[in-house]
Amino acid sequence: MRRAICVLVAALLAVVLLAEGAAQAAPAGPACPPPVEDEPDAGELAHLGPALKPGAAFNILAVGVGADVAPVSASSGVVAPGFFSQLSHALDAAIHGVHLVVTARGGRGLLAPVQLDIIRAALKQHAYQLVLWQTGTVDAVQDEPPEEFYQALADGADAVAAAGADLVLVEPQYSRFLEANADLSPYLSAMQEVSAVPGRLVFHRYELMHDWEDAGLIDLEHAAAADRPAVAGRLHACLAGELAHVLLTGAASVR
Amino acid sequence: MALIKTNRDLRIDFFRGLALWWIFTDHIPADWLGNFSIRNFALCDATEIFVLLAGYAGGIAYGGAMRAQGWLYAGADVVRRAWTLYIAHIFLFVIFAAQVGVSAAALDRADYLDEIHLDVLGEAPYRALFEALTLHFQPAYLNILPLYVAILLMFAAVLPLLRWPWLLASLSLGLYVVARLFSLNLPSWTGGGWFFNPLTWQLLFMMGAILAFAPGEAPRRHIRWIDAISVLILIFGVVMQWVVWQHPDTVSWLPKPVVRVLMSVDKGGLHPFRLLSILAVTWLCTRLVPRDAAWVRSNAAAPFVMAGQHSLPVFCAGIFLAFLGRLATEVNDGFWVQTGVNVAGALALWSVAAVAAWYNNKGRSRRPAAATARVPESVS
Repeated sequence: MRRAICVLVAALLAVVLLAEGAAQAAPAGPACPPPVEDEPDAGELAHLGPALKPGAAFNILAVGVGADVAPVSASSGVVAPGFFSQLSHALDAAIHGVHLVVTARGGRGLLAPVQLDIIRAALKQHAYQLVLWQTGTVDAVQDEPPEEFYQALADGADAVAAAGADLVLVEPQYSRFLEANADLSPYLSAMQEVSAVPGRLVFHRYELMHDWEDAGLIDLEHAAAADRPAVAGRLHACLAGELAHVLLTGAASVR
Repeated sequence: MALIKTNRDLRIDFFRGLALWWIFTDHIPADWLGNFSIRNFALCDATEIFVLLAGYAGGIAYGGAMRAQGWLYAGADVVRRAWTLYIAHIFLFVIFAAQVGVSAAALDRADYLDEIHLDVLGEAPYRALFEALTLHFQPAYLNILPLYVAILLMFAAVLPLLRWPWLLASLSLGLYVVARLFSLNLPSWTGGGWFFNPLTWQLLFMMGAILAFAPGEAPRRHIRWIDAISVLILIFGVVMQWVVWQHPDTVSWLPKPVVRVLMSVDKGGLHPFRLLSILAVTWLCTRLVPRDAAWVRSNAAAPFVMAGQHSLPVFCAGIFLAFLGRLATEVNDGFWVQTGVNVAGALALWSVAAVAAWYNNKGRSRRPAAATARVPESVS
């Protein structure tokens, strides 16, 4: 019996080590990892269609983009390319001449109910085709009641629909700290639940980044300080490419 | 010199030590050992174990003191204990803030400060220090001891009610329900109230204290039913952890209100599901592990028992060591590095417990017997 347990433990260790070795051996090339995002059905983002064409202005309201501010390396002073410039490039590559106008509202450290007020105010001032709502991080870290988070998202989604825009909820950025120290599951589930109707999508950024880090493809947390701007730039570019793909597919049948 | 006190229920010490170890491993991001802590298999985690057993230890120590010496005497001891915890919290705050701040500067990782909410310490240092002293500012990792302090102060006030356990339980449950229904919490400088709401978490502590002071008899007639319900609650927890929260699409066939209830489980307010989960775990542990279980007295269990008997220094050391572990695994998070961090961390925690035990025994051997008898050992 004891021998069998020893063999079992040794086998488990071997599997772990082999898996780890395989992960470390994976090349970290300059290209983005292959898309793993669940593709939306064509036409799910109906308001985007008319805006996603050459020469048309594509107005995006971006809320909660504080975490997207490009990191600066204190040692090198190098600034990584920002997410929205990368998104603009990605969309432009697909539809040449599309004119992306991004209006950013709100900063870091805001809870979803506060972001909701910001969205309502912004929608009264201007017309947008798309609202990108990055949320959930602060709510999860502070362990705010998930039902209040859900309600804020549901109210926000209704407001966006009433304003004639589509909504993409953007999941928090993955980090090992967040995974270990916050229970994100109820908040991610709430995002999924709210977005289960046409005109709304979730951009699974948390899952994407988690997969890329696990596979050793893009790992911002373990990057050396000098490399961090470059790794952040690549991360933004790849996320922007994924999001552009989601937007284009979601709007496809209408365009 | 024996480092472990054996004239008590060692199960309490063992599970407390285990909870402290889990708090350490759970606080190291992406630690593979963290995949085996209780939070992966139940809706509750080490915090619930820690608070429940703190209440149990408090019920034994201060309840016994109240019987022998009266409320004023025992209550004063509870307040003194709260003061000790407060001092330990402030000391840990200073150490931890320095540790994280220096690491962030040296490694060019400002995100450490953001994640642990120490960014405000850089933006408004004097205000942040003041708010930390008044417990209105609690960075991540540093929110358990303030909870413990607040609950002990409540406990000092209601200590005599241990003689009427149903009254104490009713009042405690009433406060829990009211606090949850009306979102009552103590204020926090950074908004949103305390991370661990003392007005709800007190229920778990009081339950522990009541179980220790007035345990009553096990309900023999319905014991199998309670076993079955406890197992069902545990199974429900596993399903929630592994299915519902990992793959929300799998429950899309459920009515929306049900899904929303399943998604609403919060930790800070001690959601009823979490409360049921820790109660089920506790019931099954008492059923499966008798008080005289030989393995609790074995050498293998000894480090956990010793850690559980000196929970305050072990907890504080665990927070410091967990961040050190994170720094190490960010350089290299390979299996062997993680294993080294876990082994070194556990040995360090147990060394802290051993040193605390040695000092405790060293002092006692010179102290008159009458003086040592009144020290509440169970809460050291």
